[in-house]
Amino acid sequence: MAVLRELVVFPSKCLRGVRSYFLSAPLFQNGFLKLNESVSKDGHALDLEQSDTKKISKAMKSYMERAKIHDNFIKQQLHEYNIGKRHLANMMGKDPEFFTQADVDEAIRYLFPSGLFDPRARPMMKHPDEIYPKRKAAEFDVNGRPYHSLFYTSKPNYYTLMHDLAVKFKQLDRHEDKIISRGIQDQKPTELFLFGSEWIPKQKVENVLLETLTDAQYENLIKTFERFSQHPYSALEKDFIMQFRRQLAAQVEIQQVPELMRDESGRPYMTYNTRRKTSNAAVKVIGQGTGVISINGNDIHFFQREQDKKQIIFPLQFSDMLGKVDVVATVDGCGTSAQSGAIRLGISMCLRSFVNAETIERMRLAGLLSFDPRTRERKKPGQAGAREKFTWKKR
Amino acid sequence: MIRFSPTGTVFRVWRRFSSWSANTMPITETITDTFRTNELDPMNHRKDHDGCFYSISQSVKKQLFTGGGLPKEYKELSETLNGLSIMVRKPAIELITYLNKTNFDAPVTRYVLYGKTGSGKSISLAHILHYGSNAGMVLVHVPWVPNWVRFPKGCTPSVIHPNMYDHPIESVEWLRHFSTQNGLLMQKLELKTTETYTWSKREMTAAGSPLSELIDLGMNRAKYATDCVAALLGELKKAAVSKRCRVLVVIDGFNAFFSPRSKVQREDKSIVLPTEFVLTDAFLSLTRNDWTNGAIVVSVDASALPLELRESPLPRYQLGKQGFEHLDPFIPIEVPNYSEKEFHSQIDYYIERNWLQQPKARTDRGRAELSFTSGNHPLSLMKLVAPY
Amino acid sequence: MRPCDLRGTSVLLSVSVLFVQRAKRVCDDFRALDLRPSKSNNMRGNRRKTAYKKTPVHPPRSNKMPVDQDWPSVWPVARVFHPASVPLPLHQGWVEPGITPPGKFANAELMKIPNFLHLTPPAIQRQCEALKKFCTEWPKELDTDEKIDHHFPLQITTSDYLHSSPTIRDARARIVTLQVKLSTLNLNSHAKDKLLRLVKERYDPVTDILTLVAERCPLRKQNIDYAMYLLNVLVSESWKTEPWENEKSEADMEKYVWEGSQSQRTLQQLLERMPNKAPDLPEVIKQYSVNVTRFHNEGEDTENVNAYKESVIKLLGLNA
Repeated sequence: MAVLRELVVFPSKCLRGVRSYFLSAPLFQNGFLKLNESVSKDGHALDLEQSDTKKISKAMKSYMERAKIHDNFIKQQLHEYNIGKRHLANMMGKDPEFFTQADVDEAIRYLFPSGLFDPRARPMMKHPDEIYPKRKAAEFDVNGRPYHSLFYTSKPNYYTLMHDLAVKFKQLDRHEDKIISRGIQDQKPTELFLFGSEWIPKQKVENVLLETLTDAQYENLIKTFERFSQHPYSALEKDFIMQFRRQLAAQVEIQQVPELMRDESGRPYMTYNTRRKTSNAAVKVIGQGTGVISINGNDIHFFQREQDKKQIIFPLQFSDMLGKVDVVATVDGCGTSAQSGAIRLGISMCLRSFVNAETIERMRLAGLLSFDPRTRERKKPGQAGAREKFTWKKR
Repeated sequence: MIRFSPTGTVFRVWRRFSSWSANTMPITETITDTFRTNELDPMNHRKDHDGCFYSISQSVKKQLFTGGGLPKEYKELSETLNGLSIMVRKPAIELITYLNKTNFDAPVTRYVLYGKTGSGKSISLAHILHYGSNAGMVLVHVPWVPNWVRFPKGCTPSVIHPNMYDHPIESVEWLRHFSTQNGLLMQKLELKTTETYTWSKREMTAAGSPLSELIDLGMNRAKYATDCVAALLGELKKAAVSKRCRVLVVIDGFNAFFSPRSKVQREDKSIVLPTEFVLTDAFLSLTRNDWTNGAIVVSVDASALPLELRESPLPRYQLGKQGFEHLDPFIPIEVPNYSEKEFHSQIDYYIERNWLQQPKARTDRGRAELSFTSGNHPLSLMKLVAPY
Repeated sequence: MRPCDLRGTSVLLSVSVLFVQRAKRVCDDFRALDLRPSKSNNMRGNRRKTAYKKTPVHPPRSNKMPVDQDWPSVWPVARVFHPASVPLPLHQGWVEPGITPPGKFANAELMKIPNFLHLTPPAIQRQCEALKKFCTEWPKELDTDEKIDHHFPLQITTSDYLHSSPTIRDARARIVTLQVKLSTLNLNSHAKDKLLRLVKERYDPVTDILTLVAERCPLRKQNIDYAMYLLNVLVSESWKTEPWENEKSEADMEKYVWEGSQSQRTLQQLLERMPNKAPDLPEVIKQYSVNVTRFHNEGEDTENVNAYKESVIKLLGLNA
C-alpha cells in the first residue's frame, strides 16, 4: 500500500522533470521507426550489479532504481488492466475471452453514465499504453555511455529522422540515375499518393518521436518531407511517408454521395436533414422542376430579409440548378438566420446527387457543403456575457 | 445594382437615377412585340392580350386617377419611366368578359378581387376603371377605404343621423374626385334629383335640380358634404334603376368597412367602429344587390385590416361574417402572382424602359434569380428591381 | 529520587516502547495480542513522537477478488463509488494531452456520477426472474394494436420515478392521465357537441382523443378513481338536454347551417328579383348551399373558394 501510493505519484513527477531518463534500443533499422519504446527492450540489463572495472555512482544507482520501479509499475498496471477486463466481463455477464476494448468502453458507459460534454473528461478504462505516456527506454548503459550516437544532440530520434530522409533522398537519386542510364523510357515516375491526406501535426510527431520539438524544428521536418515527397520516385518510399500523413475526413464523406430516389410520378428527389445553431431543417429537392419553393408551406417570402433569401438561392445559383429543381423544406427553431443557413446546407447536400463531381468539388470549396458548428457561447460567471467583461474600474 | 460575391454576401451599389428627357414613348410598336400591345381600349382586351402592357394616355390618367386609384409607388414609377403602362392580366380580362356579358336588367353582380398584398389588385381595379370610363358608365370609385378608417382627417359627429360620424374633408375630396372622373359624362347625362334634400332652415336642394348642383353644394359646404355624398349615391342608384345611366362601383380595400377598429375616438376615448360612419352606410347601401343596371367591383386586402387579422388573403376571412353576409353571393376572383409569361413580360418592360440596367439581370440566369428572389410576386419584384 | 535520574529512566522506557511498537507494525495481517498494553508516557518529552499516528491502510479489497465472483452480492444496492471495492482500473478527469488522467482513488468525479454497479445485466436478470412470479402472461389474442384499442379503449398513464438515492418517493408519481377516443363513446351529435364544449382544449380533433389529467388527490389510486368518475359525469351530462339549451343562438353555433342563415335569406330575395333564372335552379341552389357550408365548416382555402365561385356563376347565369 505504501509502495503503491508512491508508484502512483511517480510518473507525474517524472514527466515534469527531465524527459529522457531512459534510452531506446537502436531506433531506425531498415528505415522504419520503432514506435514502442516505453519499456526497455531486451539486451539492456538494468542490473544493479557492478561492472568489472568501475563502481556505479549513487546517481546512476538511483536512476536504475527508478527505471526498474517504473517498469514494474507499468507491468502492474497492465496486470490490473487485464484482470480488470475479466472482472468487467464477469460483472456484465459476458465471456471474458472475447471481451474487446469496444465492449469495455460500452460497459463503462453503462455503469458510469457521465453527462460531461467532452469525451476526454468521462470515465475510461483503457490499456496502460493509452493512459500512461510512452517514454524512452534506457538511453545509456550502466557505465553511463549512451547507446545512440546522436544522444548528445538531446533529440536523437528527431535528428536520426532528418538524417534518414537525407540518406533516402540520395538513394532515390541513385535509383533515378540508374533508370535513366538504362534508358528505360516507359518507366514513368509514379503519381502523387498524397491526395486526401495532410501532414500530422506537431503534437503527433512528438508522440511518435517521444521528444518535444520547437516550432522551427517541426516546420523544418515538414519542409524536408515535402521536398522528399516531390521527388519523382518518392512512391518507392510511400509507406515511410504515409507514416507521417493522416487522412482528411472530408474526402471520405464526398465519396459517399447518395443515389437519387424516385417518387410515385417518377420524378427524382433527394432529402437531407440539417441543423444550424438550434434550428432543424428537413429539405427535399425534387428534380424535373420549375423552381417552385415551399418553406413550411409558404413561398420564399417566409423569409422577409434579403440576406435570408440570398442564402437560399446561393446553392441553386452556384450549381446552375435555379429553375430546374423544386425545393420543399420544413424548418423550426432558433431565428431566421439560423433557419436559412440550415436550409442552405440542406439544399447543397441534396444537390450533390443531381450534379457532377466537378461541381461538387466547387461547392465544397465554396463552403456550401460544410456544416457550421458555431453555437452560442455560454455566459461565464464574473463576466457580463460570453466575452464581455464588467466595467473595468481602475480603483 | 446587386452584386454577388463568391460567398453569397450582397453588396448594393448606389447609383443616382436621372430621368431622361421627356420624350413621348413610341406607341407605334406592333402587336408582335412580346410584351406590348397597341390595343388601348380595355373594352377590347381579350385572353390573348394576357401578359401584355398597354399604355394609358396622360389625359386619361389625369381624369381617372388624380384623386387616387394607383398605388403610390406605381404612380411614381410610371412618372419616372415616362408613361403609365398597365399589364393586362387574367383577373382583369375575366372581369371584362363578365362585364361585357352582363345582363343589366338583372340585379347587380358583385365581384371581389382577392390576393396577397402587392399582387396587383389595385392595378386591376384601375384597369376596370378605365374600362368603365370607356364604356360610358358612371364611375363611383373609392381609391382606398382604409384612408377613411385609419387616417381620418377629422371626424365629426353627424347632425342628421344620431350616433354616426361624418367625414367632412374626405367627403369634399371624394366629391371632387367624382366630378373629375365623371365630369363630361355628367354634363351629357343631365341627371336630376328625385327628392328634396333639406340641409338647414335656409338651405335645401329641391327635387328635379341637376345633380351637379348637389355635388357643388357638397364641395363648397364641408359640413354637409358627407350627407351630399350619401344623397348622391342614392340618386345614382335610382337613376340606374330607371335606366338613365349605368353605374360602375369600384372600391379598393372594401374590407376596411368591417374592420374591428378605427382611429376615430369619442370624447371618452372609446373607439368608433367603421360601421358607425355615415360614409360606410352610404357605400354599403350602394353595394347591396337591390338595384339593377350596374356592376360592383370590390377588392379585399389583408393590409386593410389591423395586424392580427392578416393571416389569410381569402375573401371570407378578410370580409368577416358581417362583410360576407353583406356581399353574398359574390364572385371571388383571385389575383395571383405572376405567371412565367407575365413575369418575363414585366422584365422586358423594365429592360426596355432601361430600369434594369445591370447587364447580368437581362440574361436567363439573371431572370431566374429575380424570379426566385421575388417569388414572382409583383410588389416584391418592383422593390427588388428598384435602386433605392 | 532526583528529577534528572527519573528523566533518564523515562527516556529508556520510551525507547523500548517505540521498539515494541515498530515490531508490531511489521506483521500487517494480524494484530498482535496485547493483554497489558503499556501506557504511553504523555510527558512533554514524548508527546511529539506519538502525536501523529498513521492509520494502517490495508491493501484494497479488489486485489483479493476472484475473477468469477458473484458481483451482485458484492454490490447489492446503490452506493457511492468506493474505489477499493471496485476491481476496475478507472481513470477520470480532463487533462492536457500527454498527461495521465487521475486514477480512481480519491477521485471526486467518479464519486459524483450515480453509478449503476448495482444494476448490471446479470443483477437485472435476477430481479426479473424474481419478479416473474408476480406477472401474468400477455394474452395471445391481443396481437394487433387495433384489437387492443377495440377491447381496451381506455388508457391510463402513470409515471414512477427512480432516484439514485435510497428514497422511492416522488411527488409527481400521483399524476394520472386518462385518454379515450371519442368514437368509442358512441355519442350522438348533440351529446358530442355538449361534451366538446364542456371539455374545451382537452380534446384533440386530429387524433380524436380526449385527455383528462387528474392530480388533485394525494394518492395515485384516488386520482384514478377521480378520473373515472369525471369521465362518467361528462358522458352522463352530455346525454342530458337542459331546458336552457333551446336558447342557442346563431353566435353559439359550432357549425354553419344553411337553413335559416343570412345567406339563404339574401338568396331568396335575389331570386325574386332576377329576370332570367338558371334552368336547373334547385340543383344550382343546392350546390351553392353546399359550397357555402363547406367553406364555413371546413376552413377556407383556394379550392373551396373556387368551388363557391363556380356555383355563384351558375346561379347568376354568367356562363355563356
